[in-house]
Amino acid sequence: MNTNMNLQHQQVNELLPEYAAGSLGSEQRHQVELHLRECTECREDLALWHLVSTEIQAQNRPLQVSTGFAERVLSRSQNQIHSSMSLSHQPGSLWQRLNRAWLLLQSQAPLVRREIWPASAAVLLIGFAVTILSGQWRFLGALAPLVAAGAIAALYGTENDPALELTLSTPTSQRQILMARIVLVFTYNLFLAALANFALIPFNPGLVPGALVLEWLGPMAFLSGAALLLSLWVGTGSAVTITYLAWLAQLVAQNALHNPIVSGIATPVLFQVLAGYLSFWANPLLLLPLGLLLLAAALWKVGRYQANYSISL
Amino acid sequence: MFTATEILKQRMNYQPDSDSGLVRRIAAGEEMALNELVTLYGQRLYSYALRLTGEPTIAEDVLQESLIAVWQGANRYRGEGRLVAWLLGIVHNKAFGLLRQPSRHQVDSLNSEHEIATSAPGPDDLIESDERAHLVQVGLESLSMEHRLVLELVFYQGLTLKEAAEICGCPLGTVKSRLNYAKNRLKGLLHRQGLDAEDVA
Repeated sequence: MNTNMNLQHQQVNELLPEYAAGSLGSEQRHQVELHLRECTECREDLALWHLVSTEIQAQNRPLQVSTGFAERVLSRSQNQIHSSMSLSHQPGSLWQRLNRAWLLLQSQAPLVRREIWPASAAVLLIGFAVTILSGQWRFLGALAPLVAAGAIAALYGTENDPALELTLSTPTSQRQILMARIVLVFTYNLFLAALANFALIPFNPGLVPGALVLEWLGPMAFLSGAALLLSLWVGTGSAVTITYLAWLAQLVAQNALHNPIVSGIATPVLFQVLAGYLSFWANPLLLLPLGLLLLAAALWKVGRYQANYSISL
Repeated sequence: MFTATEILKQRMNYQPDSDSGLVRRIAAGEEMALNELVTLYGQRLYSYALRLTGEPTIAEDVLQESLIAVWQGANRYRGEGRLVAWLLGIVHNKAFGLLRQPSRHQVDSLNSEHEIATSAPGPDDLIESDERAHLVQVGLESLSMEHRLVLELVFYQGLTLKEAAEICGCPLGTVKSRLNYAKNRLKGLLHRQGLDAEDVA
C-alpha cells in the first residue's frame, strides 16, 4: 500500500461509523464504497460497526414502546414553567413580557410615595409661571433636574416604603421593583418637564425646543441617578441635600464667571475649576451615561440588600 | 406514542426549516410548540438521558429540566447546527449537572466500567450469529460511560462525529479515538471466541 492509499484508508476507516449509522452525505458515502471494494480491513471494521449499530438499536427499542414518560415530563415541565412565569423573571413572548412589565408597573404605582405625583407637577407649574413672568427662560431648565432628583430620592427604603418588609419577601426581585418605580417616576418627570418646556414656546418663539431640552436632560438623568444611589446609602434627606447643592453650585458658578467682582479677585486656577465644573454639567453625552451608570449601581445595591435580607430571615 | 417507524421517519425527513420554526415558536412562548418538540424528539432525548443516568426517574427529571431550559433559552438556538444536536447537548449538561448534586445517588452508569452481565445466556446456548450479538452486547456493557455515550450518539441518535464531539465537550480526535478503542475492544472479544464480525455482514 503506498502512502496515498494509506492516507485514504485512514480517512475512510474513520468515516465507517457514520457510514454504518447512515449519517454520511452521498459524496462521502460513495468514497467509502469505492474504498471498501479493495480493503478487507475496512470491510471487517464496517461489519463490526453494523453489529454495534444493530445492538444499540435493539437495546433502545424497549424504550420506544413508551411508558407515558412524555406526558408526565411535559405536564411537570409546564407546571414549573407556569409557576415560574408568575415570578415574572421568566422569558416568554414579547407580548407576555410586556404584559408582565405592565402589571409590575401597575402594582408599583400605588406603592410610590403619593406626594411625589402632585408635588412634582406643582413645583414645575410654579417654575413655569416664574419663568414666564420673569422672562428668565432658562429657569425652568434649572428647576426640572431638581424636581426629578427629589422624586427619585424618595423611591425606596424603609422611610419611603412602609411596606418594605413585605416588598422584600415577595418573589419579584427588588431590582425589578425598583426598576419599575424608576421608570414610572422618571418618565412622569420627563413628561412634565418636556410639557412645560414646549409650553414655553408660544410665549417666546425665539426659543429652540431641542436646545432647551438638551440643557436639562443630561443633568436630570445624572442628578436622578446620584440621588437614588445616595438615598440608598445615606437616606432620602441627605441625598436630596447633596444633589441639590451640587446643582446649585453649578448655577452659582455660572453667575460667578460672569460677575465682574468675582473675576476681579479670582485666581486663574479658580477660574479653571469653575469652568471645568460648568462644562461637566453642560455635557449631555457624559451626563446621560453617567446617570444610567449610577442607576445601575443603585439597582445592584438593592439586589444585595434583598440578598442580605433573605439571609437574615 | 412513538413507534420505531415514526422515529425513523422523523430522522429521515429532517427539515431544518421546520426545526428553527419550532424553536422560534417556543421562544415566542407558544406552549403547543413545546408539545410538538416532545413528540418529535422526546423519545431520543429520553433514551439519551436514560443512558446517561441509568435510572428512569432521574432520566425524567433530566428531561424535565432540559425542557425548561429549552423554554427559557430557545432564543439562544441560532439554527447553525441541527436542533437534535443542540437538544442532546442540553440533556447531556443537565444530566451531568443533576448527577453532580450530592443528594443524588451516583448510579452505576457513571462508574467508569460496567460489570459484565452474567445473567444473560452463555455463548454455548446460542447459534453463531446470536453468539456474535451476545458478545457485542457484553462488550458494549463493558465499555466505560464515555465510550458508550459516543456510540449512542453516533448509532442511535444518528449524529456526526463532529456533533458528538460538541455534545461531549471534547475534541473531534477524542471522539475518534473512543470509537477506535471500542472497535478494538469488541474485535478482540470476538477474536478470542474465534469469531469474526465480517461473517454476518
